[in-house]
Amino acid sequence: MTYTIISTSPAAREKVYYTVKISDTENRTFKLDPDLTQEQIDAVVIETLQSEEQVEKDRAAFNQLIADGLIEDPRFS
Amino acid sequence: MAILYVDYENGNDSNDGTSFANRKKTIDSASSVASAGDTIRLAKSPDPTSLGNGTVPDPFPSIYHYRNITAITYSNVTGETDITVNSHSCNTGDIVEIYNNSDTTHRINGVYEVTVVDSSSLKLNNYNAGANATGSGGYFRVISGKCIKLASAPVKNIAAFAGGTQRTAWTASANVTTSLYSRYSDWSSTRATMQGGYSDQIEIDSSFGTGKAAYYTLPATLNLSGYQQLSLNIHQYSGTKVIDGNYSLKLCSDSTGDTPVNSFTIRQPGSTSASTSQPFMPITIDLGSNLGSSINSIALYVDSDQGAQQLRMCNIIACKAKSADDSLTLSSLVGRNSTTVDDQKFWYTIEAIEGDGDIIVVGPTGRTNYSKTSYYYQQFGAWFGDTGGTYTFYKRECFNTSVDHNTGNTSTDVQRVIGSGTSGNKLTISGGWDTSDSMTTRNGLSFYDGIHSQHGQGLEVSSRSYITIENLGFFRYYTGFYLHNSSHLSAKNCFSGSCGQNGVYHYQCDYCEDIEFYNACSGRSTPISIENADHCKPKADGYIRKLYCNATYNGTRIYNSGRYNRLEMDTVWSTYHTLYLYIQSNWGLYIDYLTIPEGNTYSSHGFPYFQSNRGKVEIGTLTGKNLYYGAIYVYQDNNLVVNTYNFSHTSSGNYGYVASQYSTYVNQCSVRILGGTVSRRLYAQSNGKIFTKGLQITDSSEYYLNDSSELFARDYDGTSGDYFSAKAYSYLQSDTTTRRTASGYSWKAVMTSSDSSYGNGYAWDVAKVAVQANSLVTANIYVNRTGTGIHGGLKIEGNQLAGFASTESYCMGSAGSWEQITVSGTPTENGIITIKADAYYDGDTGHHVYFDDFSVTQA
Repeated sequence: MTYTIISTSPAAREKVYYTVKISDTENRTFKLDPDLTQEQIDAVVIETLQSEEQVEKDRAAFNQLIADGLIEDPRFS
Repeated sequence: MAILYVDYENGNDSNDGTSFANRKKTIDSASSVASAGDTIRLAKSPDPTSLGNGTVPDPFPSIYHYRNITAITYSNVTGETDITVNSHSCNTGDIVEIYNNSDTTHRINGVYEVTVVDSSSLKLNNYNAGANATGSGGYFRVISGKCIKLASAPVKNIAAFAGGTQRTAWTASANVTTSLYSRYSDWSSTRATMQGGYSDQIEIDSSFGTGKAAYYTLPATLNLSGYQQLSLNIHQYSGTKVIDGNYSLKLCSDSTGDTPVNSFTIRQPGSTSASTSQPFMPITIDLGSNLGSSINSIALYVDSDQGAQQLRMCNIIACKAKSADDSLTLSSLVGRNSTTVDDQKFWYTIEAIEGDGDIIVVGPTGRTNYSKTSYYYQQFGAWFGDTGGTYTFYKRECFNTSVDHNTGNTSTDVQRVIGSGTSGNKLTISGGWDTSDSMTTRNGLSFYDGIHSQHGQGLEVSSRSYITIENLGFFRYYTGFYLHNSSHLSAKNCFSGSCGQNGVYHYQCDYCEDIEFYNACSGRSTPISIENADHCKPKADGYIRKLYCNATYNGTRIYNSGRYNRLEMDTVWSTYHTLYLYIQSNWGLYIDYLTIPEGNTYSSHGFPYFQSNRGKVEIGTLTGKNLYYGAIYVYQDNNLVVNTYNFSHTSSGNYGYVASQYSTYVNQCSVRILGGTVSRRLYAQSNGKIFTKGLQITDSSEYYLNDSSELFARDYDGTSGDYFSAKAYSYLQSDTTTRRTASGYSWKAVMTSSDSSYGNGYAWDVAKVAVQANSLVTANIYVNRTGTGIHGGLKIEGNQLAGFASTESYCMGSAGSWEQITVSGTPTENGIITIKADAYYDGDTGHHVYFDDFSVTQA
């Protein structure tokens, strides 16, 4: 998938902020090396979004383990 | 100021202890006659000896993550059986554990060094299926990080090891039932085995009587003349337990266990009533002479009839003469034996010796609720150093207190300090004194072993004052050091390990100083617990210097301490704990260095967990690596300040697990981070707030905020003068490029999502102004938007002062020019009003708006 780069701006340590359109209603900013190709930027975006998806799955699974009494809820142990 | 002498092995409590010749046996006896200012010298336990070089296959293990075995190609050639595990991520030489395979013909469950074939295929070194076949099933877990592969094997496998077709149940006599036991579950606390994939289960019926109960024919004749000791893990789970033993293992020259050559009575410390809740214990018997040179079978004999008894055994090995440097047994401790590098001082108990007797698996022994594979109760890694590779490893032996101080319950004091010192005249209990020069030189340590990790308190100091304990170690007790309701305690260079509940339980001990503990493998509960420690001395006086903890269920716990004076510590170091390092409910706490050098790999655990602290908790330098939520996990606790936070991660966890996602987890509270560098983005949820100053975030995505959480950053991302704040779908930052006037900076507001529409955009307080009644208040700001898909303006919410109605105004003009926005109102009472700037999305997330030159006047 190709993501539209809306804008770029300087970031710390000679990095560049790439503002990327990830949906019709949302942008994300990624701090990356300058002069990246579209493919490289797409790869970062995909990895990040997939990782967020995984995080939410993990969190749901973790909460399910607590709900099932298989591990302690850290908040109440 | 007298010196008293204590020697656990060769002392006698009927002596007066005033000379080496008349040395006592126990700390209890010596401390009962000691006076303030006296020193009790303890004979050292045997010094460490070298096992030679050992390799840790992977210094940073991912113990937790297991995989399914999708296919197995069994082979009757040793080392040629191939298993398929998708994306196993192993390297040749890694050590893996296979469990839950139900094939009782090929018996593949066990621990193996592997040879990598390709990314999804591995061969199991040393395994021989006995036939060529195909199969599948079972789980696969890499345990490299808790293993030491020795260059040469110091022990010899006899029985109850490994798998394959050679692994058969023992042959039972009449009225005895034997089987291989391997019932595993990731979710249960069943103790199936300590070694390989199976234990040998022997059920003796009440009608059996005495004599040979069962035997095992060895696959090949063994010459054991180079060995003098027998070591095994045993768990009697039913029937009467006889402490001094009522059954024996016999090495026999014939193949049916009828011609004993060597006989070993199996002592069984702990409760005399066997129970499934009791653990496997490592038992080592020293014959004192060479074992037989032609051993063909091993047999279990009942020597005195105790009715029905049921037991499981595993890892029966022959060990070298006690005098040999490499006389490793299952009772030994192993470690790198550093006296200078703190994180290499740990001493580990041995979970099993695998392979050809050359692979040591370290881990907790003798724990209840211990399941070799259970994710809930364990899966510890082990820390051997920060680089992995090959090191010289050492083993050492302890004084076995179970012989004289057997206890069958958790709270019995195995040894205790009786008596106290006084201010300026502490009573000192000092370990490590050399008996070869009549204990005039201290050049070692005094380590004690309770064998049964569910029973006894290794050393109790309760309701005492002005005590120093030093150079001591307590292993395999319910609690190693039980320090309770005392004051002015010092504990220097003290060690614990494999204690069922706590390695160190430090409770209600005030005015303490010079605390230094190293703990490994302890603790169903908390391996080191510092609880209710008040009236604390400042760090300059050395209140708590070092707490090192490793390979445990929870990490160190610092709880409800720091009243009257804050609790100050130099170093809290903890790694490979399955759950949390608790810092909770403290009144005031300062830790100079809090370090998690490597996270565990258990989902979202392993982090320091800050919760419900009552007063400021300040961390000088917090360092973490490969923790899912970073090293700052804060829940409902607004008291945490971290001066420097350094967090790093590897690109992904080994064996397929993503080791780290965030550098913080801030839930329903706020945290302040005043510097450092993190390689993963910040995360807050449920109205969490993160304040940073100068913190560098090297991740490509710098934060993830949800549920009304916010980030407030000064010197953002390490850039001096940059201000940045963010919410889930918008952010605000200082800007010097687009100014209405020439100096200073403007504020740039960006809406990153359509969710930041009117009422949900980015609003912030630009002024709180004292105003007079009945006089018009006028606020102005200039806004400049890059497109019409965004609005910026001012608003003053109503109900702040009487007469002042809610008012707001937003830009409506074209893009690219400065537009003055004005709001005004007249209060009818004196008071303070808050004026907000506000921006919101109106059709295009690519547009943003600048705010500049705010002013407020009153007529």
